[in-house]
Amino acid sequence: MMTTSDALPVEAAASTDERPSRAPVWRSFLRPVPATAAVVVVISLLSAIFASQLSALSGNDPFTYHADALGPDTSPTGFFGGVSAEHWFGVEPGTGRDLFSLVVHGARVSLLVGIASTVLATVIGVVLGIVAGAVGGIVEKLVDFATDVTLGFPFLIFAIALSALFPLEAPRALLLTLVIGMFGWPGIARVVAAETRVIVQQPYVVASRVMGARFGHLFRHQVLPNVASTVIVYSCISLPGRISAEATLSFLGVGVLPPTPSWGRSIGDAISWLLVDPAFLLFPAAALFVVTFSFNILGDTLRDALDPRGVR
Amino acid sequence: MALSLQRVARSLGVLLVVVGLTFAIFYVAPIDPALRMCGKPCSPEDLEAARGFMGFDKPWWVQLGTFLGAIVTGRTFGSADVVVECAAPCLGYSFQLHQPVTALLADRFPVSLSIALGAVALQAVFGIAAGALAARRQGGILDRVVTGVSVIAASAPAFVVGLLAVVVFALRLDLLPSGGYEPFTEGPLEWARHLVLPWATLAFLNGAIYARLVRSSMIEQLGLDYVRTARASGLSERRIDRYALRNLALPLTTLIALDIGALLGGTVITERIFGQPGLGALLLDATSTADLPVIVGTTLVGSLLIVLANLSADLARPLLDRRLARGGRSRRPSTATTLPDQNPQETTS
Repeated sequence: MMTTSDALPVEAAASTDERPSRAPVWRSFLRPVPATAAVVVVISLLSAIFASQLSALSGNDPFTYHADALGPDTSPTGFFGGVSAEHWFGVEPGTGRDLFSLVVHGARVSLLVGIASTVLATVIGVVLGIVAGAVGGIVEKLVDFATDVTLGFPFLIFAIALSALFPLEAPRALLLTLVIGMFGWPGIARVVAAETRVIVQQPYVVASRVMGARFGHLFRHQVLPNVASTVIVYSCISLPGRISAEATLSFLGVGVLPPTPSWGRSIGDAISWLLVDPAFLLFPAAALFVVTFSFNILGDTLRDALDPRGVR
Repeated sequence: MALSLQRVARSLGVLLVVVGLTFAIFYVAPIDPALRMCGKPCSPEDLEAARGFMGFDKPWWVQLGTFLGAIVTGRTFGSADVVVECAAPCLGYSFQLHQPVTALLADRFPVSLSIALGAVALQAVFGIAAGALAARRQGGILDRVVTGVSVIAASAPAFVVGLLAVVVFALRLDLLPSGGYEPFTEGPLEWARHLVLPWATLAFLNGAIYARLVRSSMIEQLGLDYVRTARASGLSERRIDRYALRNLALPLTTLIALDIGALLGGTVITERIFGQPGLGALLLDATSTADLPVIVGTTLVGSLLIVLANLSADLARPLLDRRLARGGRSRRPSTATTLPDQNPQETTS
């Protein structure tokens, strides 16, 4: 039988993706583009963790309204959205909140939801994939059907629809993580199931089964290490998509709620200010793009370095 | 034939489960549409009457049965003096907008369809062309440009690209309208002018996926023995390209079908940016007013489109690959294992 403790090594395996142990993998990250991407990712992670300290560095926080930085039409006064020594990225039109603090704090929600939902999707996908591939028969058919049903849901539409159900005081970041994670597992489950089917027919697996190895043993010592590189690459490649899924929902106004800073929501707010203050769009959009782009580069580099079958 | 029937049955099964789950989730939810209809002050008797009128007084599985039946036979809400008719195919009745959900959806669908079909056509043409040209001169300037742009497009969120397009082409250059929608029947030119920006936005992002797929598969094809033989027998390079591209028909058709199926997922974003009254806009409005029948109806239409697209891609498979028509078994009809998983909202919506 499978227990939660059997699922734990998956998480452990997924978290090693930043530090692969094999030397050639390391080397491929030393080229300029992947190296820059890695630096950006580290910076974004650090700014998510130390958001408060970073914005304190500029003497601001993301919640204070600076009415003095706004003109009579409540758009920021001064150059490029009110960029100044005091407000490094200018201020948010309408409220006068410090945009630098908003962008730095926005990394929190984006990365938290992106990483947590990827971990959730990966754990579900790996467990279901291995069970389906190893057990076969009716179990495999059931997992297959569940995959089809999950893919049959229009993800974005359904996520928007679900938001109507959430009460205002519900923890939005957690709900977003759950929704994005619960709909993200089919891809990885299919890849893992296909690989598992091959692995369990290998002579050494059959031999250890004959010698009485239990499912937990097969799961941990024979299947998991063999699918690990695929799983790591797949979750890395799908991470940026989940970051932009969170941003998309927040952009549409059904993600995290004010006053929690979020890149997607800031970009959504920018729609009504495009004519007078395009700078308000640029800073959060640039942050979102640069971080997604860097994660994509890292994922591609890792895939090329590990080159597991089944993930292209 | 038997295989096709099996696929149709499976699709129906998936659709039924999706409907059932959606219904269960939304009708056990802590939202009471009857509260909105009951008026103020709302006495418990009035509330009960409103629930009875809307059919919310029954358990959810009975409601699900009624709902499914109404798709075929239509439905009448209320009884005696006040009656609301909902003709088949009835997907519920919006008591906030005072219209059957089917009518609301039919009203908005052409907008979303216009956006999606144009975008899919553009992205297929440009994506395939870019990918094929890049593969022809692998490592050349064009190849590097295509590869670079496709990496950028894979990371750029649709709403960022769309907003930048508005700022540049509508607000700064003043070339195109920044939004709105004109029906095709009012004049194709105006219709197209209002849709160019959403088309281009979606096509830029999704076209990158086509370009990547075509490029890598073409490079693979051009390295195969049949191409070497064709070259040795003196066939023109154009002819060889055509043969190579023909072998991509299967994955490309699948990709196009899935993109059309996922149309709602992409258009909900552009509808918000460009202020177009499509299904996505309807859903967002319904979400803010907690108009459950509309929310459920839109979700179901979205799911129906996806399932139909998957099914037609599956059924088209044997037509495109003769080996499958002779009873050979297709590799698992999934795109998840054969296509790069770019964005969850792209591939699963």
